[in-house]
Amino acid sequence: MSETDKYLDEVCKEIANIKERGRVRAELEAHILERKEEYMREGDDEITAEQKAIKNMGDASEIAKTFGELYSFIPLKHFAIAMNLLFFGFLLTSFYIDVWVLEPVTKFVGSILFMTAFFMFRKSNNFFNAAFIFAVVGFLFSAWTEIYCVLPFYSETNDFLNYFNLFVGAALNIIKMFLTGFGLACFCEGKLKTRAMLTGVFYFCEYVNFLICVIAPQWLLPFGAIIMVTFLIIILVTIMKVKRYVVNNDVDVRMGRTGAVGVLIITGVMVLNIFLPSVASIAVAAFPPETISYSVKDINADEKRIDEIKNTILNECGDEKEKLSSVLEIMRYSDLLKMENAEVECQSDFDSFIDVISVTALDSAERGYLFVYYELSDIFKYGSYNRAMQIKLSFPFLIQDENFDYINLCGNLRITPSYVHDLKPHSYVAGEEFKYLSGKSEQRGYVVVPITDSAYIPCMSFQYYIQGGKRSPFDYSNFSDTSYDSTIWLSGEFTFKY
Amino acid sequence: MKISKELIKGSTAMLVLSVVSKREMYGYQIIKELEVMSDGTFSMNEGTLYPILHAFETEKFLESYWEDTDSARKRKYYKITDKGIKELQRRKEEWTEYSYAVNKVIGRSFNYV
Repeated sequence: MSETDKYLDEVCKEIANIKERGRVRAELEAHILERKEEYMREGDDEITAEQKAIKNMGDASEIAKTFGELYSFIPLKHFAIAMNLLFFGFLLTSFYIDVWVLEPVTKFVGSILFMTAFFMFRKSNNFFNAAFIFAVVGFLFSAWTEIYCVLPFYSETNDFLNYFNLFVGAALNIIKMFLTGFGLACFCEGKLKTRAMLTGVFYFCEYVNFLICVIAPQWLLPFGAIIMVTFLIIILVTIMKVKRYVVNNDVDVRMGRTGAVGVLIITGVMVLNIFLPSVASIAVAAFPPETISYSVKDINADEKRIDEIKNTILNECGDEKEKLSSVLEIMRYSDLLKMENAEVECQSDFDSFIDVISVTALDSAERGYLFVYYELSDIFKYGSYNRAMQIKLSFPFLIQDENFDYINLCGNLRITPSYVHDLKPHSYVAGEEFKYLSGKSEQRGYVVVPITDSAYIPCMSFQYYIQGGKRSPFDYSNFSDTSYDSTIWLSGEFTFKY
Repeated sequence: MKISKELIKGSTAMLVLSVVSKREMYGYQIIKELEVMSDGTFSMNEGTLYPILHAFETEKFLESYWEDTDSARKRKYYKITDKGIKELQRRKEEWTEYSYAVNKVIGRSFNYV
């Protein structure tokens, strides 16, 4: 190594940015060589000329210090503060605190912490892009599901969209994994072993969390959150370690225009993250997908359908007057079903699991829908997908006939899960009967739908059945093959939309 | 007469900006020009010039570009920007005011001696 090289190494050692370091070095080297050539032209030998040229440059450590101030690393103190803000911001925005106004407050405070952390990175101007990618990934992590949740609204009756949904979910998951892994890998630029180890740890945490959330019994669920926190701590420690690595090695840590773009992306994603569930709910309420929502009246007004049922009954049961009469009566009664004041009551482990803001029930006069506002991301934020809950749908009805011994209402809830783990819509049979009490003109019927395997439930369609006859089908004392002949099922369908 | 380093240090930045304002120059050229223009008074450690140039570049007082030379070496040329011109003007005014005050004080003290 020549004297010039040694001198330049000393001068440039404080410059953190490797590109800038290269530029400064080239510039100073050109200067020294030019000076050296000048001395050689004046008669000095090469060694003397080089020594003179270097001497003219001045004290290397003094110049290094000045350059260091100009192109310094982010001060470790600032870095630590920023990382802690990021960490606590993540915690506060990720976990749900169901106490009074604490939830919005924690979300807000967490967001502020996030933004402060990012601007600290930006201000330092020395944090490398990969870190920013990582930060963006952190937001994408929570945002991707929100985006995905919008799609199932339109997929219930469309096979293409159903599959599209599936693939979009899978693709988003893969992209998320890739970006996060990439972000981590970038932290360890040049160190293959560390890179592989980190990526491995990340995926391990991710999948263990996934497994716990999906297959574990309920008492294990809090561990999902613990694993996530562990994962965050690992990341934090890793970042600190990588910082040291960056300091000790020639790694370019300057953040440029990409950083600014990163800030914009993060801001946008944050806004989406906070407001998308509400916006999605309002948007779907404003533009309901009509194909999956129809009312009681629509069914009853369908003369063809009535004829179909008549014919079916006649074919299957012969022309026994009594049976046919029962069928028609039930159909008539169903027309009297009033649902203007329907109520939806949701019960779960957490009272605020689903927030019912307003319910516009199916109206027999016009198309309506149940609009239930639901904070889509909450289940995910608990880190558990296996919570038990049940939805209780109740509505008043009116029956004015004393000929029937019973009438039953039951339902079948179809759930379109958004989470990629659940690949197919599920059906849950709701089974609670209500008995028609002869002579009473008004009853309140309800259906309770238990759900034990829910991730996100952005879309549920509820199919109801009205069953009636002269004798309860649950009375098995006179059971025979023909005991159901005098009953008929009528069905309608509506959809919960969030 | 040799000027003290401290005194030069306080005005180096303005002098460098002033020299570059005349035409586009590279580092070594700036030093030479400074030396010639000041009749050898402003002879500085050449290495100390570069942090100043880079700081000015960061502040957008100067712009730079690389150019090939005959000796297959590249040179980094510096050019003053509009912002740099304004800054130079500001520093000149500051210097004039300062030197006027200094002269005034020195002159007055001479009267008392």
